[in-house]
Order: sequence, then C-alpha cells, then structure tokens
Amino acid sequence: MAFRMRLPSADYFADLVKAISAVVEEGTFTIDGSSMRLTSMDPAHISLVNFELSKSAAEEYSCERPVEMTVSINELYKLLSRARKNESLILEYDDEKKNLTVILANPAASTERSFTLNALETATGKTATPNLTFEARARVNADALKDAIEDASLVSDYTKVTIAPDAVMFSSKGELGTHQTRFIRGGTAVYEIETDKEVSANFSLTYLEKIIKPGKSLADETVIELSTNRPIKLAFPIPSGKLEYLIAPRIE
Amino acid sequence: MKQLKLHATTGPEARRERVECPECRGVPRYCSLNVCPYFRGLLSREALERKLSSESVFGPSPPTVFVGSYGYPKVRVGPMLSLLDEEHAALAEDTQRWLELGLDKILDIRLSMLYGRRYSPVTAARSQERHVMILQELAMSLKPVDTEVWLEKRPLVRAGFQVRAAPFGPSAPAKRVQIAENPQVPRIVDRVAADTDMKAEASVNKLYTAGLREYDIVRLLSAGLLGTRIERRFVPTEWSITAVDDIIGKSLRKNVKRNVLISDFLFYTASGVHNRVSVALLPLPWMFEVAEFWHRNGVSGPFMDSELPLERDRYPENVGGAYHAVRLPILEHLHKLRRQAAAIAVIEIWPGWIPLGVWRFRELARRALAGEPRRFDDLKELLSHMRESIGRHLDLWVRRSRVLRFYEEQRSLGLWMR
Repeated sequence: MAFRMRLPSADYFADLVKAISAVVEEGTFTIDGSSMRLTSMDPAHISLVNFELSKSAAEEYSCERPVEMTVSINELYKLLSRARKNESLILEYDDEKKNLTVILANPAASTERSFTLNALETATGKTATPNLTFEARARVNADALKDAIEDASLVSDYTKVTIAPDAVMFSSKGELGTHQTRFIRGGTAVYEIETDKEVSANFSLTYLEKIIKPGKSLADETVIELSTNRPIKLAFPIPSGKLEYLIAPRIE
Repeated sequence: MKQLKLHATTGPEARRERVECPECRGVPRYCSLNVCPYFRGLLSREALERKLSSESVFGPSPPTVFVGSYGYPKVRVGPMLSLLDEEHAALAEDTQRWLELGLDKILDIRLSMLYGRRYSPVTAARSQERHVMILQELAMSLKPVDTEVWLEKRPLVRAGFQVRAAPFGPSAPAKRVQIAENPQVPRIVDRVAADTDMKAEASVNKLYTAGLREYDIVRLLSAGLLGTRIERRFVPTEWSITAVDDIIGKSLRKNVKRNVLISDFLFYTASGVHNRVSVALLPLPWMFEVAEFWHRNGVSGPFMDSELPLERDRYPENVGGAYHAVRLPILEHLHKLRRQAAAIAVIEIWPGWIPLGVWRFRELARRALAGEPRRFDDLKELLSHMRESIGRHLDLWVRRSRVLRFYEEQRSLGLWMR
C-alpha cells in the first residue's frame, strides 16, 4: 500500500472530483508525503485545472513513497457520487496492483462499502503550467457569477470579461442581441477589486459554465485574475487545498 | 447511462424533404397508380392486380419491420414484403448498395414493398402476443424471409414517402402475418435480443462491433428487441435510424478524441443521386459542423448545426437526422486512421431528388472518404479550393460557421507556455 488517506466527508471529496471532471476525463494525481495534486489540461488545450489537497485536510494520511496515480475522473466520480451525507471516505492506492480502493464508511450505522477502480496507463510527460502574471484581480460572489454566465449564454457563445477599477462586467453580443451584467464596487456581488486600469478579454461560455457550476458548490466566492487578451484564472478557495482553473481567451 | 431520446420529425427538416412531382404537386398522398410516374416502371397493372386481389399476399421480406411515427405512442407496426423476387427483396433494405442503383431502380424496389400494418401501442413490444412474436422473429433474420400477410381489405396503392426512411408502396391493414420458413438468426443477434439487462446503447454498440449493418441494427431496435426489459418498445423507424447513427457515432467519438491530430487540411467530395457531400478535415481537436444547402429555386441555406469542444450534446434542430447520418462515416474514417480532426460537412441537394431517406448522406460521405483527399497547408488554401469546388454560396456558411470562428479566435494555453 503506497498511499492511504481518510477524509471526514466523502461527499465533499465527490464535489472536488466533480469540479476536476469539468475539464478532464482522465487525470494523473501526484501524491507525496504532504499532499495530493493534479494539474491537467483538457484535450483541446484551452483550459487547465490545478488541484491540490494537503495532508491537513485528512484525518489520517500516509504515503510511503511519492506515487503517480492515473484514473478515469468520470469513473471515480461515479463511485464517489454514491456517498451519503454522513459517510467518511478512505482512499487506498496500491501501486503494484495499480488499483485504487474507495471505501465509503458510515460509523453510526457501522457499514462500509468499498469499490476498487483500476488505474490507467500514465501518459508520459508532465503538464507544464503557463507562466502568467495578472494585471487585475477581483473577488466575486460565486452565485452572482454563475447567474452572469448563464445570462450571457442566452445570447452568445462567448462573453467579454472586464475588470475595471469600479466594477466587474460581463458583456456578450450575439446574432440576435446583447447582454451585460455589472457588479459595481461596494455592492454585494463583488468583495474586492484590485486594479489600476481596465482590463478585458473574451472567453468561451461553454468553458466558463462547465467550471463555475461545480466550483460554486465548493466555495462561496471566486477569485478572478485577468490581463487584457490573456488567459483568465478562476480560483475557488477551499480549506486545506487549492482549486484553480485557467481558460485561454478568444481573440477577435 | 442515459435514456435514449426520440425526436419527432416535424419541423424544418420535414418541410425541406418534400416530393416535388408535377403529377401530385408535392402531395404524395394523392398519388395513384394511374398517374404516378414512379409507379410506371413497376409491375404491370394486371400483375399487380392479380397479386393484390387475393385474400393473402405472399412474398419475401428483406426482412423489414416498419414502425410509423404518426400517433405515437400508438403507432403502425408491421412487416413489409416485396412483390418482386427475393433478389430485389434483399436489395430493398441494403442502403449501402443503393448509390450504385440510381434513383429509378431504388424507387422500383421500394415502391414494390407491400406494408401490412396494424395499430399497436409501443409498449406491446414487451408482450407475448403472437403477432408481436412473429414480427420480432422476422426482424431477427439477416436474410430475406418468405412471409405471408392476410389483408383486411384491398391495399391502397400509393407511395408512402418519409423524411428519413425510404418510401414504401401499397399498404393495407393486416389481419395475420405468418413466416413461411425458418429464419436464420446469427448467434450474436439471438444473444443480444435475449439479454434484457443490457442497455439499448450497449446492445447497439455490441452489434455494430460484431459487424452488423446499420439497417439491421435499426430494424432490431425498431422491433423492440434491444435494451433492458423496461426500455423495450416499438421505436418508429425514422427515429431509430437517427438513434443508431447517434449511438455508434458517440462511442466512436470517445476513441477519436484520444487520437493524435492529422497534419494537413484535407478535402474529400462525392456526389450521386442528385446530392453532394463534401468533407473538410482540419488539424484541430474534434469538432463537427454540418452546412446543408438546397438548390431549389436558387440556393436556400445553409441550415447549420455544430458541436464544439466540451459542449453538451444537443439535438441538431436545423439539420435533423442528416447530422448524425453524416457524422458517423467521418468518425468511422478517423477511427480507422487512428487520427483526430475537426470535421466540416457541406451537404447539397439538387432538384430531381425525392425524399428517399438520410442514408444518401451516410453513403456519399463514405464514398467521399474512401477516395484520395486533396491536401492543403493552411485554411486559406482549403477554403479557396472549397469555394471553387462547391460554389460561391459557400461564403454564406463561412460567414456564420462556429467551427471556423472557433479556429480563428480561440487561443490555446500552449501559447503562454513557451
């Protein structure tokens, strides 16, 4: 047994895996003595997910030696989605047999359900992360952000995200009409804006929607980082971990 | 796994696929044997009269079990049998060979199909009724089966044209159906039909991998022989055709998305039966777009539908069944090459076409992809060649294409990794 971890809440981990599955269908977790991490791009290389869950999130954590575990994220989510509210989760990875054991335990009822999932071949090469600096940063309410994205998708395939010193805006233009949502500084939808100039870029709504929907159930706020016509970074602050996404822009 | 979706065929697709015939002025319901030019080459009037005047009609069924969509969930179900010989009966369903035959011959063969229909709720497919069992036994054969149908009244001799499925000839309510020989059922069909725990999607894929032809799978699905017990019902043939194209396409797509990209811009084209299918492959992750043009009193269209990366599948409202019919051969081709590409299909229909079904897109795309492609280094060269080959109306599509727009505007994260 190369790796064993016990988490207090199985359905929370299920939400995390669901958030990863927004971008990738299969992925490689890198696990060492301090955390489990995954960085992966979607097949079209337009979006990237950067996930990390540190040892401190777990009630029990042991890792004899660093391992790489490639699994089908969709299949893993299917198993985890069976988790009930009060169940805890044990993950065990056997790197000789190349299988992951998922145990859903309910201490109150003394029941234990276990699944094993065969690991996949690890694809060669590590996912590089783009080197990016951002000119603007805003913290927004995740619900309001989801509404803005859903509104925009009524008129177009993509939306222009703007961070100005006084507001965060989403504007879209389609064949039949336009849409705009403004989160004005000082209101309830935006908590903080850090920028000294206006920056904006266009992004595919399909990608934004896929990422924001599951992210919203994990965190109440979303941190948006942006530069003009460069990738956007969306971060969902989670306890003892990290969940960030990058999406490449569309340039007209 | 999802419940299969069944889509009604009303809407723009049905409005475009209409019979344009000077005799009946586009209302094939009023066709009659005397005036219909399509019926003329058929059996002589006397021979037809003789065949249809007796109480029962005997002939080879390709086999065909046809399920109508009108009145769903209470639909017309029944066998079709050929009034010609067995050789013609075998051709009557074999869409893969129809391109070689040409319109007149296809019409001859299809309009000599007699349809013995009976109203039945779709859920009757699960019942042990004698009539249902006979239909299902017939559907399981892969070779023509001699069949006898007792008719309640004299058949109506007019053509039944449809949007996605091929037309048929005389039809009448059937009292009784009997199979006159033992149908030969391959073991794989027997096994899949007997398995009432296997989902319809898995069954379709299993039969496809085993090498069955699409129209055999369509018939089995229509007859309510595939899927879990609760899923089994009569599926209108028109919906079944699209469902099968879609299910097989989706499972191929899953594999194609893992392949490496092609390296050039490729262009394939083929025409026949007053239709033309042109396929362009671009070195990009899997995306797909169909643009349909009708050449009828000038050009109408493009009617377009597309799928971009990560997008959820939705029903192609504008193109309809042709979308899945043309996507399947493209995915088959990429799967065979072990390559990935973005695909664009331009389909054109000229006057002279009469609605014989969506199979022509599937077969023309297959014929196109079997040929040698033209290779280009960039999109500009590809587009200028396409414009030359297809015509100026292509620009109507270029302006509105979601795939081209995505290609031109969407950047990849790779750009910031160097």
